[in-house]
Amino acid sequence: MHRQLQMEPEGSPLRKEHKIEAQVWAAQKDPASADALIGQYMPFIRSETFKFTHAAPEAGHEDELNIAATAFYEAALSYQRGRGAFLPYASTAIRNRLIDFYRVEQRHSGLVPLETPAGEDGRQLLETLPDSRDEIGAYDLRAASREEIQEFGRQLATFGLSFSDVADNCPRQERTMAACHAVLNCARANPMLLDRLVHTGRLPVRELAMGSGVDKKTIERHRKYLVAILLAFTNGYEIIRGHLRQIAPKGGERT
Amino acid sequence: MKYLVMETHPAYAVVLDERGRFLRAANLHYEVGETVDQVVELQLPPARRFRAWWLVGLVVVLLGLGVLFFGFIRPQWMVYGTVRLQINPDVQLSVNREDDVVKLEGLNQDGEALIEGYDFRGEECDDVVEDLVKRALRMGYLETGGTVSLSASGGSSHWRDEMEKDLRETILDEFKGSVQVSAGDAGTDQTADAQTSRKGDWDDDHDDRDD
Repeated sequence: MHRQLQMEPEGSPLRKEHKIEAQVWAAQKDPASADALIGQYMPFIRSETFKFTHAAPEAGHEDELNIAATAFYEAALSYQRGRGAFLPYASTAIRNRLIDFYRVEQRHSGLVPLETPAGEDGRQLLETLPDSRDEIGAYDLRAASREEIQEFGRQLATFGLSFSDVADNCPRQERTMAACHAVLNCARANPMLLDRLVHTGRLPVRELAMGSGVDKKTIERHRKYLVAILLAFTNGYEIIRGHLRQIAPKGGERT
Repeated sequence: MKYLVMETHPAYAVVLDERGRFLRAANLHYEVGETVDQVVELQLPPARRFRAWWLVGLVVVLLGLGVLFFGFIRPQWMVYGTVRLQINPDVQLSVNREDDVVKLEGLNQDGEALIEGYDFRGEECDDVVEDLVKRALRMGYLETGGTVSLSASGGSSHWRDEMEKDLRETILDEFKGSVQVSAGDAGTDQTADAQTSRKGDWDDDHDDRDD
């Protein structure tokens, strides 16, 4: 195969396909490579979106373009040898995803967009509604959240983790998620364990297993996720803890 | 359910929901720190069952190797029975289920001399016995009209009977009656009496064997 590739002239379809495949394999392992792949093939993604919407993404179809980019990424993650050339495979994935997206959007078709003209003076519906939101407060909260999340990301990086790693390691089954919550409750009840995590950079697996009754293997299997969620309950992440209201009903205060 | 945007990429964002789940979702112009009410979750491929397939493959290969070893290779090397050939030189042939000789050893000094330099590998038992009788004649251990004693042991009684019968017929056919065969009683005093000794050293060998 390699010899055959060497014989192929530069720019030939076969050589191009091999190059794309190599990029896809890299994207499956590394989020940065995936971002580079998306950036490189954004014209292709725009083109596929245009085929579906028959309009430029800038003409009110930005969401469709984003959904198409997501579908392209999903295609890169799920692509395997034996599924044909990558680009036709990605094209099909984009089309299917956009169809799904439109179906979901149709459920909201009875709603009136806020941008709808609300009178003869050319004002939009949004402008006629009473503004009960504190925009300045919301902006400040968002900025504070961003800072806190960036700090959280930096601390995670000291463990060699990114948010993407944590998302990949997040439990998908309810039972496993409940087990991880039990581990978290154990750590919150024993703040020394949280301190050990921060100071040693290692998850105290044995103590958490004994304290929570969760199998050590389960803890090891979801180590990245548990590191992240336990870190969130150490000092300094009040906004994140406040967001986790369904697992921190008491306001997320550290005990 | 509300989602806090933790990280953004060109194709997706990592969001944290209120139950503590970190999810990958389509990035609909999100910014880090933003809270959204709805997300379009990524449809990630199911975890590859590479390990499972690898394990299944390993088990299949091991089973195949087991069948190959215990069904074919081991029987080739496993001794099913032995044939003892006594002229004066005393030789034991170990044979497998296919009647191929897998081991050849001299049980006394003359026996070791008789088989020295003889390559029995891949040969069937009757061919080896025939060759050894010829060598015995050539080396002077056996004279015309002399007697060769044969006995089979191990295996089934049927195998022993058939082996002794076949070897007896082989020697009688090959040597046209110039060599007598005493089958089934090798190692006994009666057989020893029928043997042809060489240069009067039979008594010594006989004593060795009895030891």
